[in-house]
Amino acid sequence: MKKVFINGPISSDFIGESIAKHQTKTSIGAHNIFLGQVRADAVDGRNVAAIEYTCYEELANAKLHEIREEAFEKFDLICMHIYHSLGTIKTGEVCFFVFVSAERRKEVYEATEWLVNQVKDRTPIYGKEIFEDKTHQWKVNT
Amino acid sequence: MKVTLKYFGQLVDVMGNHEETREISSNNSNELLEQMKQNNPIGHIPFQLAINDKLIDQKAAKKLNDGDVIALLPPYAGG
Repeated sequence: MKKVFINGPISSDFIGESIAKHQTKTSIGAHNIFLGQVRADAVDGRNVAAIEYTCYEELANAKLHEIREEAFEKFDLICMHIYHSLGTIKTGEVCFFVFVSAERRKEVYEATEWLVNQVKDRTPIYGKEIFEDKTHQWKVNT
Repeated sequence: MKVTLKYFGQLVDVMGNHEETREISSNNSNELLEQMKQNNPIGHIPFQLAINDKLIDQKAAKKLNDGDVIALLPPYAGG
């Protein structure tokens, strides 16, 4: 089972190192990356300061494994990585990192979008939006 | 028999905790849910049910066993 969940934000260093690790895989001709960043949404005059992510880890890992297997069947990929934060992630920080590699670019564009949608739709992850005044609401995906 | 109930998302606020162990009299998943809806203000929150880490179809009642872990999962919000 590949590790997906990371406590805290996903740093630029982590993303940079992930890219660097692929330099030895010389059959790759195209990488594509999606980064989800915590947005400072305004709701009824209150601004989101952070999102606290939790998940049902046992089921989430099982679902992510299914998604990974399906992605390799559906697209001609060489490599795929999914990372999602848990814990409190401040606005402006990265909480979701999808990284797809293939021989050619067409596959990576389609695979990235498919993966991002599948993770959002099928993985039991929850986000508590914490406002600057410390009140909160539960994030709803649109 | 005893089961563990796990709550996620908005249900954490409504139920007041993430997880609890309950003594239940019925071994029918639908009856348990009906009792919970009667005793807690959760009727307006849509959720899926997972028993022992597997999503189940709520239209068909499932037999519960001692020690089962039952998760109530509102719509997901990852990303």
